[in-house]
Amino acid sequence: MAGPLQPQSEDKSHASEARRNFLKSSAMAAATAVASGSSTWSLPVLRASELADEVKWNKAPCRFCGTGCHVQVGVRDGKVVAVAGDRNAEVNKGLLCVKGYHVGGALYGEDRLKTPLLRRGDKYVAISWDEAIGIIADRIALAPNQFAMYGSGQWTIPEGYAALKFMKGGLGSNHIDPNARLCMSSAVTGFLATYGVDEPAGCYDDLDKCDVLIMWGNNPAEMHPVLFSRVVDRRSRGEKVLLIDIGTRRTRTTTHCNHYLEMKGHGDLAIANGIAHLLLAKKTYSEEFVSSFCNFKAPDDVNPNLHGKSISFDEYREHLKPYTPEYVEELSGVPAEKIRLLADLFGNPELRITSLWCMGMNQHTRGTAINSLVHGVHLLSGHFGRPGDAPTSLTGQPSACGTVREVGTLSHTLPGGRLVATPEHRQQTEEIWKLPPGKINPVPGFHTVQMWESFCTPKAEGGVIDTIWVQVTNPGQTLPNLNKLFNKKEGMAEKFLIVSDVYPTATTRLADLILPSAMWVEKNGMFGNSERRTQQWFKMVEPPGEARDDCWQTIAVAHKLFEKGFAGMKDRDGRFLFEILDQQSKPIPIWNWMNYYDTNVDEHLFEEYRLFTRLKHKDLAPYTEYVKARGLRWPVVHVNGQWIETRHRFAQGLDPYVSNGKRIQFYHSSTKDDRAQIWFHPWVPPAELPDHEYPLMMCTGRVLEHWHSGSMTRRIPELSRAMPTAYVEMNAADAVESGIRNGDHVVVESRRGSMEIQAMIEGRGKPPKGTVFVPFFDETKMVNNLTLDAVDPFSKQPDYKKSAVRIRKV
Amino acid sequence: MIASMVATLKRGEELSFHWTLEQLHQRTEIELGQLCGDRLPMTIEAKDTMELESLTKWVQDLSGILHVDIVFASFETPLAGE
Repeated sequence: MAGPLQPQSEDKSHASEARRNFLKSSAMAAATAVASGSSTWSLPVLRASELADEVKWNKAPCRFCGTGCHVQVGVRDGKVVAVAGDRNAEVNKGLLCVKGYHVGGALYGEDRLKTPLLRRGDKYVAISWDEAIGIIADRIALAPNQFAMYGSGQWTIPEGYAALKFMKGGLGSNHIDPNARLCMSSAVTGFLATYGVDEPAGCYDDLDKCDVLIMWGNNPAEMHPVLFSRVVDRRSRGEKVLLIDIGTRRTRTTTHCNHYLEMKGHGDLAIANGIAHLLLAKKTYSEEFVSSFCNFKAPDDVNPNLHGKSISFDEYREHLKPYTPEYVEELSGVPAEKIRLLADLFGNPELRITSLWCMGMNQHTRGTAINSLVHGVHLLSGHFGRPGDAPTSLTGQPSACGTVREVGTLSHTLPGGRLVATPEHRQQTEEIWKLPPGKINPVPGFHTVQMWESFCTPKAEGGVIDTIWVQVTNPGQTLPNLNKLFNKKEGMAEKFLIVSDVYPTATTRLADLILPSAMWVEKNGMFGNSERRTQQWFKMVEPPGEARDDCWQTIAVAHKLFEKGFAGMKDRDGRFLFEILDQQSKPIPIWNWMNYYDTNVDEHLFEEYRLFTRLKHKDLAPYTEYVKARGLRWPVVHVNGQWIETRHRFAQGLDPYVSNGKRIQFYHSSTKDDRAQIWFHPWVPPAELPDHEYPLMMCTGRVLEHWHSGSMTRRIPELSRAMPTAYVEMNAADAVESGIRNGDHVVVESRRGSMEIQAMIEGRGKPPKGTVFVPFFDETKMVNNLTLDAVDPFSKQPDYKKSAVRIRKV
Repeated sequence: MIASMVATLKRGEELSFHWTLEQLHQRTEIELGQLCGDRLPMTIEAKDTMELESLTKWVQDLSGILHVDIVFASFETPLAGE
């Protein structure tokens, strides 16, 4: 391999050693987690040979992150007793991370919610499902426009589709938004601003083909360990892969990387501009790719909008002029020679470069900008359109792509990439849903921060949302600036919070009505992972007590409204919006729990939803194809009697929708000329900077052992014992200056709140001086009381990575 | 091939306990983790499945070991449920 890769001598034995160490540390983590746990939950990989006759195995995607690993689930006597990696799954090839091995344990926490509960004063009383459904329907009927729904990328595809249809088709309200707004909406706006269509062009195969992997504010060794192992594994086979970590603290990922580029918050904006500056200055950009397939854009300061304003190549060059390596070093903290290294790599057409990112670039008050800039660096250099040459975002939730981005459960979207604000899109949706014309509201609803701010504001002061129904997520722990956006609800009698969940959480703490939900293999489901892969599984065990599917809950409320004569729940022929007919053309009463599984509701909803997916070249196959597969990547097209998935988009020979004779075709270009947009965005500082009063910059995130708010993983004894509580990672020099020692209890304070927590110095992650890190998985250490609620102007995604704090010893 | 397991040690047999740990320490293929009560996590490196099985059986047969559970195997290893 030529050029900048050569000095990085990584002989086969060194690579094998790294691979060996990675596997050993994963293996030891799993064993330690098991050894630390109780003996009440069966071990993750059991003596399968002894159980083979008694255990029934079936496939399912893992319940946790967006990687989309498949597991084999072993069921005996109506209980999940074992989980194993699925060797037939392309994503994980049999490997699982420590969370995946224990995913079955998430079903069996001791405090599962098993009956509907209604708040009466300071207590909850058990009520029947009929009462609960009636209460919700009554509140909606009274004031449908003051009702909102809040879900997540943990909704299955049919659940999210049903919730969306219920809100936008049934109530004519767009006040529905998901937790994914907090996770990846900047990735969405980045893709839309660049290509005119959402989601990565590439897929995980890029990890197997790239020569260089650049991780932008990303820690896949802990957050997506199975994906990271694919790269580490290649090295062990003697392949040369250069790994570069651009981050704000050293992590487990850093230890595997050839280069660690430590940046200040928002340094990524400067770095991307610095690379583009050098590509132009050294004339190492791809003139052919740019002139054939790209336009240039810049923000429109007069009329700010997602698609900005067109600029010429010369204007683009002029904007980039100040971003010399030395100026970028000043802004980002990354040495100028490292900026030159990155530019040399992108300037080498022989290499294949994959960029990987997740929350670091998305939870950013300039998230749309940095996403667009990274796409731009790839386009400018021509590192696009070949396997291994791709900018690829990852997601944190199992169906952030499938349910949120594709089904369209955001406040401004409709299924299949449709927008509520576009008349043609509303008409298409009304046609498929058989709604009377004009039923869908053209005004986008409240996005997440607006929704919760409205809910926590008294009606007399303009807080119009008075009821929120939360499904499959935990905003009482994960919203930013909780004291403003959630905790203020306490004592507000005019506001009513409904929470469907599996366990008591920080959100149910303030709920007025709690509904017990079925989870994962207690119900049928479909997820869509980070690489456009749609996955399906069947119900394998019964949910406990009276817990029921979220999708059923939505349909039951819809039918209660239908019974009450609520016009919105009828289609234009007067039929129930979610009607499913049997073979005699009689409606199946799926709104009755006892009849819900008389048919496969998921399949019916999915087949209707499929009609939308063809409208933006995101074609999905029939449901039955997903039953057979370990997921398929869209667009899935029917060729010669077979359903064929697409690994790479926009390139001839790889994407079925690229016209013959066009090497690259961005067929959803926002400029309608088959070209992608290369953006210039200026560096701007973070929304909050450390100062004399709050001198440290705090970043939040996850840890290997826990997923999201920990409501599931903290109930798995093995994982809970392995990582029992959150901590604040400190730099040793900062700790010495404050007289803090490892393990000391400290108070971390921001302008918005404070918490007591243990200090960890030189621990797993190593933040540089002036910065700290706190994971958010621990309900007893609510770091989001401290975080900032400033959002990106286009994606409306908050920045959880840069809040100014101070620390003192207790 | 890398795998990990949890060995559950017999309680109340101090001499046997220390002897068992000593035996385990002497095997270069085995790396011991931190003892949690009577459960000892460990990783094993083996060149193939047969050697892994042989090592697992050796651990299982040590007099201070009550039983052994396999927890993790690198993905080159056949897994349960296939």
